[in-house]
Amino acid sequence: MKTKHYLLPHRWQTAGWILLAVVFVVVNLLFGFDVWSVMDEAAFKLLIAAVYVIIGVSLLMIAFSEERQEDEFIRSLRGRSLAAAACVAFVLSVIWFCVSSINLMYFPMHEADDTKRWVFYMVDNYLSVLPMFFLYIVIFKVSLWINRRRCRHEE
Amino acid sequence: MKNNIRVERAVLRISQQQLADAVGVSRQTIYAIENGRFIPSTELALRLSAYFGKTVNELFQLD
Repeated sequence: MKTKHYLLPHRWQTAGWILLAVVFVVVNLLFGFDVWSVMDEAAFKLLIAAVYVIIGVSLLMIAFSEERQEDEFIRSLRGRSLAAAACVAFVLSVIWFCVSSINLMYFPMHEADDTKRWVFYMVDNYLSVLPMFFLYIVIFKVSLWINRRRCRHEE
Repeated sequence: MKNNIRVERAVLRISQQQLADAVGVSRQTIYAIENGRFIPSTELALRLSAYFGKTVNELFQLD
């Protein structure tokens, strides 16, 4: 009996890790050579947005690709990890909502306060999703590792 | 849910890996089932019962 699981093939996970590593190296090189200081503000914002999108795509590829031997136990671990990550991400988004509300209440934005508005936009649109992917990957990989370790000496 | 997978495996003198390969799951899954941390699907329970030549009720019992 076949059930559809909506997971990408395992090789996509490898591609996701490579993409994440490339972004990490490129961003560090840009920081290292201080490219940020010579860029104008629009180009800087565009670059940051592109980095966020690429990180999001690579985390998605890592999070939702099959393991080498994907079976029903691994899928149950996946479900539990996703539920735990969603709970933590929800708490983080509530904290962000409270912090940003208090911030706007006491330090209202002026017309010219474009950077602050942009930061709120970025966080609202991306940081509410990325921590969930990231937490899910961490929780899932750690529980996989714990299970592998547990059954290492058992026969 | 209790199960006799470990006992049946010992009777046949097979390892967790051999059982896992025979029923098409990972060794982690067999380990988790034996230790009561994972309840298998009906499909896997039927495959295990067919492998051991026992009924599902003989392999799995409610606490």
